[in-house]
Amino acid sequence: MKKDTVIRFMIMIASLAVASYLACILTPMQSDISQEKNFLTKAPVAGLHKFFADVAWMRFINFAGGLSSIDSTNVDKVSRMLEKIIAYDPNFVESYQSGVLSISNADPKLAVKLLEQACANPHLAHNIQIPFYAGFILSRTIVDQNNPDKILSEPDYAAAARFFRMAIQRTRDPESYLISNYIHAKAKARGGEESLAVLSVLYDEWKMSKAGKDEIYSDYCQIPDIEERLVKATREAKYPIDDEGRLLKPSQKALELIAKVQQEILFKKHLCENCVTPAAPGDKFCGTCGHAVKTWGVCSCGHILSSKAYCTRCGKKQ
Amino acid sequence: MSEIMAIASGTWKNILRMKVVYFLIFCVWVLVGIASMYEILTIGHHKPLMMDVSLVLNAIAASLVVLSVTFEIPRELRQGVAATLLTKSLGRTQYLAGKAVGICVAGFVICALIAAGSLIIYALTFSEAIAGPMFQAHFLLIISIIPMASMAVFFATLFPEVAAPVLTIIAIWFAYSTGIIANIPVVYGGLLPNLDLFNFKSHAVYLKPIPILYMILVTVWGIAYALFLLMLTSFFFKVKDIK
Repeated sequence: MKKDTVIRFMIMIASLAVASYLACILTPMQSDISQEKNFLTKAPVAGLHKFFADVAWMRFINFAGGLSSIDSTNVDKVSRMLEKIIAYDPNFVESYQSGVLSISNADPKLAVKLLEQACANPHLAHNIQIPFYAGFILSRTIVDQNNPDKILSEPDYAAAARFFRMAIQRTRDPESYLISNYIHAKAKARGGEESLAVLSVLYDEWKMSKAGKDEIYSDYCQIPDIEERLVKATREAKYPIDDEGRLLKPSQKALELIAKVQQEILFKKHLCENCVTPAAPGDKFCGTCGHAVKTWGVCSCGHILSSKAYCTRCGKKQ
Repeated sequence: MSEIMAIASGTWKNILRMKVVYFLIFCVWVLVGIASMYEILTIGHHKPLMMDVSLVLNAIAASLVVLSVTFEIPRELRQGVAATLLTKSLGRTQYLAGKAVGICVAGFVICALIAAGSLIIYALTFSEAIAGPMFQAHFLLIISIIPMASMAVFFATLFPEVAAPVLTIIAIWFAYSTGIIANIPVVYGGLLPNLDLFNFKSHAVYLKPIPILYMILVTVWGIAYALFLLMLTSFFFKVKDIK
């Protein structure tokens, strides 16, 4: 064998070994860098997934824009178009926020399935709207627009609460609507009297927020204004109203929970025991219901204290 | 080395001398610019679309440049130009290497012009600074010309003018569409080319940076694979009867 042939053969084997070795390193490395590749369609599109997603998105807009509404007659085609976009580009936020939402009234189950997949996508891990939309769809009864007697989806409050919680956990400063939806979905999942359920949910959340760091609750999320919400929920539980706005008598269970909440959590808030309205410093009676309240914020000299460290009349340290 | 560079310079000069190449680059820039008009049709998705269009057109341009060698080598073999060249002190391996290097240089210049123009158009249209991942995605696309050129040389050496470009484009297409078999890295990326390793188009759109280490390693992979394929081609070329 000629020397030249041997050298070329050795170079070939060495470069093959290097390429194979690097491929072994690069393939998992690429999966880590581009996690969406694991969700992509396996169709041979020569790496043009993103471009095909854009084209499919424009086709979807053209098609959906020409429809008077998306209902049971056309939802299958619209859904297929959306699934194609998502298969090409699972990170395509608009396809979830505008696309999937557009089919939620016609095929709520598929809409939730697609949104759930998006919730598992690491690239969309900070998106609040996607889990919120999933929770929103799940917390409603959706009927067929062409046949109102046909129910397409019954509310699943437990699942809705899970999605709302996910949305809250994705932000440091959750919007009020997220928290309200979460609390109400969780309360409805518990069933029974709604105002009592809301109070019981908030009480449990408060207990979990006070628990030690070692105790991890899977169904807990940080609610920033929980005590204010507890005050409101206590008031609503004490004076529940029916669907027509008539005042009802609170149940024994509700009264027990209200007493517990007032004793454990709200005692520092100086609330009227009767109507749960905050009493101002020096008040002897509630300004809302006239019930006697425990007086607070008064110096021994009788002067009503401001938030300062010393009484402004006698100079006594507070 | 000087023989390789002589062949290489002949190849890239042939391509870069053609005025039509610059006209096509201009057309690509126009197409990239037109993407900004798709604001309504895409419901505000025109910005990612422009980046996508620039990357896709650049990828097509890269493929077309490497395809040119699949016409050139069989033509030179048929017309006896290669035979004349090979009667001199030039070896067959050097001829192949020169062709591969030449096509790489031509591809680098053309794709770099397209990338630079597209990024400038993007920056001017949206009054935005060009993000790092956009550069990185274009850079990797340009580097992918190295293994693509060796694939083109491989097919151009073994097959006639009609079959070589078709086979090259099919091979490039499937080398980008690794799918599930990409999980067998020794085969895919070793024996068979895995051009999907250079595919980070979505990173340019979603502004996700690509680690420098990855970029270095994938460049080394491209060179190693090109070397392997060129050496393999040289064995076939050595025994090929050239009139």
